[in-house]
Amino acid sequence: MENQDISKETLKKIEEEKITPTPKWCFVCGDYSLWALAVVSIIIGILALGVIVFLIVSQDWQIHNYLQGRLFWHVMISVPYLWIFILAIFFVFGYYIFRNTKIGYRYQTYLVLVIGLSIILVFAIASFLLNISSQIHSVLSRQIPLYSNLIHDKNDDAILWENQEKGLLTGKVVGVVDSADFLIIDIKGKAWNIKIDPKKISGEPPLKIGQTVRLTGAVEGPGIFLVNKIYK
Amino acid sequence: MIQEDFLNKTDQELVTLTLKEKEHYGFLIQRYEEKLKRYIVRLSGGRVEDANDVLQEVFIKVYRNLNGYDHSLKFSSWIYRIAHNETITFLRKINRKPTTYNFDIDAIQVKTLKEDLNIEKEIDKKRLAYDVAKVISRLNPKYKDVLSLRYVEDKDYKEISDILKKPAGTVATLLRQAKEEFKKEILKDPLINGPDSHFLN
Repeated sequence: MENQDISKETLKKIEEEKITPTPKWCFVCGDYSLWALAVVSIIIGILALGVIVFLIVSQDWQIHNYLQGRLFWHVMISVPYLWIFILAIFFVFGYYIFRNTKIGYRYQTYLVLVIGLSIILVFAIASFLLNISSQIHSVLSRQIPLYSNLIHDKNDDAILWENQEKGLLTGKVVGVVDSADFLIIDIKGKAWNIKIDPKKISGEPPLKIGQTVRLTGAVEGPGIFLVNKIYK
Repeated sequence: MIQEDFLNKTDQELVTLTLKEKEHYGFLIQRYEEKLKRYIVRLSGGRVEDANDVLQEVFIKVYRNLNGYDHSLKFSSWIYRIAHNETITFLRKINRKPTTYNFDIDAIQVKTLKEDLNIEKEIDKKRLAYDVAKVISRLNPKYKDVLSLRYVEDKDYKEISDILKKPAGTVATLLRQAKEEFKKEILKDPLINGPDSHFLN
């Protein structure tokens, strides 16, 4: 090998170019920033999966008992594509960031994926059970019109319940006469007197004014609907 | 006498001293200069002059990043990692892949390799090292990397994992596959595997 005094040359270059070691705080900040980014990615992933769980669970799946042959179509439009995309992006980003931390390379890919997904899943279910997911969805629906257009939720199915020929009716409670008789206004603004079939329904908690209900039963007369099941 | 004192210091101690007084860095450079130069030449399959340029860049980069050195790693793993990355960057710059390996046959850990491949018989180590270098140079670069670190640089799994930034399990798998490839290559080669072979006889 060619003889060259690397030691002297390197020290000379360090001296001439006034090279100094990068301060420790730069590395500390870099490390913390990476970890912070990884944690933020995981949190966004948790919230995204929580909303996905909420949207799937809260879909109006009961309506398929009354509208046959539309299950596949309903499933396809009910998939929360936007949240799945957000979850995928932040999971991949979080994985990449973790891999670039000081210790990230030490762990096998499958282990990082399994642990990462488990953490997201557990906290996402907690977020759903604590109603954080529903709050996020409802705030975004109110504040961002584009969000409402991109996400299909059970309110989008309300129109399907406006089908009295098939025994479906939905509307807002405007008056409660007694435990077997109340009044609603449907989504077209028509008033209905609702009679509860005591043979089919008993022991239901009382309805509140302003509450939205979905009903199955049959039209008994003009503006009168006999209910056999109430979905709140 | 003073120089001897510094030669007895650990890498970590020299890092701490260098951060206080840059002149101490010379001792670290001297300690790793030859090893890293050989490693860079092997990895790049290139010229010694190029290796010297890369090596100087390595030492400058190490100096700049001394405060970022993670003391949970061996300093040698850290400096080899930087040398590995700088060599790969250099090869990318000149648009060349590390297709050939320049092996210094004296550096090959014949004894370790023999034990790992279950070759019990006493053989001519020099000739074996020559054959090993020839076979390794024909392998896939990912196998050359781990074999070189294991049997030439004499690094253990943990160190290879830290140098290549791969999980220890992946390193073990790569080494196992590399050894299988290595055996296959040997069996294919009539010069090595022939009647005069010093390798498997």
